[in-house]
Amino acid sequence: MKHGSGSGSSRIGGLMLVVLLAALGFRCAGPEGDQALRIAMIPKLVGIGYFEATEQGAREAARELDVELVYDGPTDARTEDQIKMIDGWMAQGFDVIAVAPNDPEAISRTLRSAGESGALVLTWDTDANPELSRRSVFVNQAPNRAIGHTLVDIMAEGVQAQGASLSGDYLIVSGTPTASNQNTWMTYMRERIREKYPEMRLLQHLTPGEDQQKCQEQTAEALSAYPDLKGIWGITSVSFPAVAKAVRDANKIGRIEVTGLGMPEEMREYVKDGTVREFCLWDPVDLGYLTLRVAHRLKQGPLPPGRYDFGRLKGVEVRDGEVLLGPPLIFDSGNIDDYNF
Amino acid sequence: MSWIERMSAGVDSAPPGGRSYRRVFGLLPWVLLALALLLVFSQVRRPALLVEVWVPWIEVGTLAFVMTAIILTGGIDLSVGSMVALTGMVQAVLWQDWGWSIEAAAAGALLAGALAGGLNGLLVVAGLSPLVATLATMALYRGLAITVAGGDRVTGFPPSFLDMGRLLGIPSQFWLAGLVFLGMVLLVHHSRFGRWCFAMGDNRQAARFAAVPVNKVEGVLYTINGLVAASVAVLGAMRHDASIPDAHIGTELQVIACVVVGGTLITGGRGSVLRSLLGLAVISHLDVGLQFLSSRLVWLTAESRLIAIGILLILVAVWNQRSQRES
Repeated sequence: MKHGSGSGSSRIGGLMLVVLLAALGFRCAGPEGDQALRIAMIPKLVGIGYFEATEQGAREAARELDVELVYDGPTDARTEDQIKMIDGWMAQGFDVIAVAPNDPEAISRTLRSAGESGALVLTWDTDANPELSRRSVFVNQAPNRAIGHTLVDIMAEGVQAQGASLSGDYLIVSGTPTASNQNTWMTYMRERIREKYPEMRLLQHLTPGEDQQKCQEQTAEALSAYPDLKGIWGITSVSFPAVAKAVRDANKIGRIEVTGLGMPEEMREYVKDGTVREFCLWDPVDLGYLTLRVAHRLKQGPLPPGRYDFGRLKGVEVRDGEVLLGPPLIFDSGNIDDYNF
Repeated sequence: MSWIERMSAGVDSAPPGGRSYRRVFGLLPWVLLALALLLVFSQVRRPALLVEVWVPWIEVGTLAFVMTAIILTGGIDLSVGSMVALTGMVQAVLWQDWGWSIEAAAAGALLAGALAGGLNGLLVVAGLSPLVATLATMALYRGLAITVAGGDRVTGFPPSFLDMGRLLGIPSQFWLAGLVFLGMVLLVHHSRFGRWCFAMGDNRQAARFAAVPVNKVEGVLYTINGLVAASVAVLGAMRHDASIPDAHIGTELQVIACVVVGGTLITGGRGSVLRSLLGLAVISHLDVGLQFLSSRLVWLTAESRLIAIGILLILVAVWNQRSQRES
């Protein structure tokens, strides 16, 4: 070492220590008796309510099934950190790796080599590129049709509960124009309106981007531009609270029905003050629970399409390469305090 | 053993007195490394796959070998992470939007790296403090990286390009790291250029008076850094089939940490490339070891691992301070 032990004897001693301990470590790592299934689950990031809720569900299932679960993810939603962790788990010899990818494409090669070196790879919350990643299944929380239809149904209920007729103008506030989730939901919303509530008139939807301020401004403009407006959907977790705020600021609580897709934590104040009566989202606890159950089930054999019971979740639909979590969860003033994500 | 002796000979100087005390201090990084190795190897079931785990750290190491030389001159380059991201995006855009062949695009990325590094060198030579200059270019290059492809990451590179991600069965990053390591050892410890570096870090004014071509040394070093950053970017694209504009955020800190934990003086004048290899070994083993351990210990989350690494850095910094006061 430069600052003292120039003789090198300490360096030799140090190296010997290193080699000794490494050898010791190898011995510790030797064959282990326990054959418990080892599952690693990686969210997009840790430390936010949504992915804490999914962890809660996953741990519940892990306890029931008596499997070893590691639930860990990056502190920022970044692909390179996810890749680092997945490579680490592979060296540790995990049997199953369940990933919620931050980037469906950039993670695919890592998932593929994980699969090739013997692990079972599945995705949840967001799918990876199925061909490139060769993941076994995607646990899909958002049956798009159910979400689109439920959004329209709770809007209709809400307007009728105010004693008003359904006929009038309705507006959807989305996020970016290319967001595929949102565009799919809107297709199903239009379908539901056509089939069940033809008297609802849909205005051209707004795409202010994932920007709270813009959402609020454009909603406020729409509120003054369309006097016959009956209801507004905010269908991203950004646009929904912004829409609610715009309606509240315009003193239109009770006259304009507001609903959408959002997180209970962010929407609580608007449910409490009556701006929002009901809204929906899938149950993230169930999503984590189902993902772990599916991982465990897949280790026992293939999962042909059909309906299955996964623990407390009954009759879950399995399609080709996809497992669907049931219908979305509906939040109102009665149950919103039970959720903390 | 003897090759280590030989390589660090001439850098190491043994001041007289207090040998046994300092010998204990000198052991600290080795003890840490041993503990970290124990951590890693007690958790590994498939050691062959460790190679993959180490790729991100080998990238950090590659950059740290060059950074060592820069820090030896009393400089620093905070823009390395941004340069990796920028050159990766330059390659992607040249290939995807400009229709260049992937090889030409890779050459373009290297050129962009040399230019970016050259600009750093130019600013430093012009008299800006390296800290300020590269802090500015860190933001500039990151901004450019995000702008060139509209913030999108680029994927879908040709298979022939992706196949070069491995050479003789191991990730190409290892070959690059070996090459850069040897190159920097020769440059820093076995050439006149290297002696200039030490002289500049020791006393810049005196070095100028002693006719050391200070500007030339700085220009060359910062440009090399850009080139190496670009090489890391090209190999990264091969491995992941993706160029990501917000990749390598914070990499510069890991790089500098390797250099400093190794024992190179952050103010320059003392240290060696070999020491940075030691620093890399300590930090990477601890990081990977703690990550492995976290599968056993639930409380060892990503956040608490950060805390552990932070405490380690403080420990080593204190150790460095003390041993410097000693000598």
